[in-house]
Amino acid sequence: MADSKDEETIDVPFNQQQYVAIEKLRDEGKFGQTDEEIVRNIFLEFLKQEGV
Amino acid sequence: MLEYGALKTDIVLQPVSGKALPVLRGEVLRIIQEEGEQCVDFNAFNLHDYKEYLGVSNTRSRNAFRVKKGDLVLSAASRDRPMFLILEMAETCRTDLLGGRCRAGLFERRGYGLHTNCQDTMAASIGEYDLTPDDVHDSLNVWMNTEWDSLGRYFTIRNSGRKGDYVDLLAIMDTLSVPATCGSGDVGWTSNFSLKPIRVQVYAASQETLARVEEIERRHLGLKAHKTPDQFKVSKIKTDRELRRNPNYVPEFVNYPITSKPIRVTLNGEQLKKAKQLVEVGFGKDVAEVIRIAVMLWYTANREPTRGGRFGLKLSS
Repeated sequence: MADSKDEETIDVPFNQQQYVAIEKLRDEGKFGQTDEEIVRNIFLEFLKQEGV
Repeated sequence: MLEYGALKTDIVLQPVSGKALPVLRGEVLRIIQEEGEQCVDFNAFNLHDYKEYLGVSNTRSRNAFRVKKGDLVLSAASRDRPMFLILEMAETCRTDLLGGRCRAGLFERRGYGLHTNCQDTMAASIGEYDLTPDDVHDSLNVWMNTEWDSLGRYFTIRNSGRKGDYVDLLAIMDTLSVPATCGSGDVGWTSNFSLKPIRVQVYAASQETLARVEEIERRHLGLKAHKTPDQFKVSKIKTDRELRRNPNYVPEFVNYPITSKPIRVTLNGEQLKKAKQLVEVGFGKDVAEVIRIAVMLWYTANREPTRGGRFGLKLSS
């Protein structure tokens, strides 16, 4: 299990058009409610889907 | 196959001629190989607003370099609406959305002097509706067997059309449809070095064709993108030819200015390691970009109705 000391916080910029996608995902309620939850969960979904 | 209405029009277009024909919503335009091996150029306009016309690049980007049975033919941006559904298409019919239309200069430069060409044939045909040569647009080319190579070079190979083969176009809106027998084919493979006639028929709308039109309208109309002239900032059609700057004009760009806001994301060690591996293979230039691209790609593949599929990532071993 990763140690919390290995954690890193990154600022990921999204423009207002890309942010529409995040809002739609928030409406689904499946991937979290905060911007951070949605972005992290979708990133993890992507890794899973791509087998990374 | 859908049941069409009664045959309304049945004409033969002699070599190097064309005809502008109203084909109304729900009607079917049939283009037939009268003898075979003849390329047909096709233009079309909204019958009630000639500024909306068949968009070759829109049709290409929606479908493929070639359209086939079942594909929608769209009008050009700014309208971008379905104009036709390709209901039927003979297997021998190769279509082309790359060649535009042949024009006199092509042949003059090759030493043929004044030679028949689709630009002039189209212009002569649409003149019946007071349209000018400048209103001719790039053609949807039917039975034009073009190929291209990895360098983007484009060339024509033997025409594969056979006598009696046909293509049926279902009009989704009222159109002025303009099929023309391509005039280039006597000096190239476009029509196998000879010019032949084609037959053109129009079938009336039927309950079945109208039902198909309504289905397409339900699925493909009603987007905000489908602007009408009354929504244009400049909607008046210029009647003079000289261009003059309007000093009072202020452009209104869509979603301008583009602004970004950062979303703060915390990754654990394992997640961060994977993100950094993606940077190493060139997926993004830093971890932030990797995450943004991944999110947008996932959304594109999983939530956009017309997209889908995996990206196919490979990490270096």
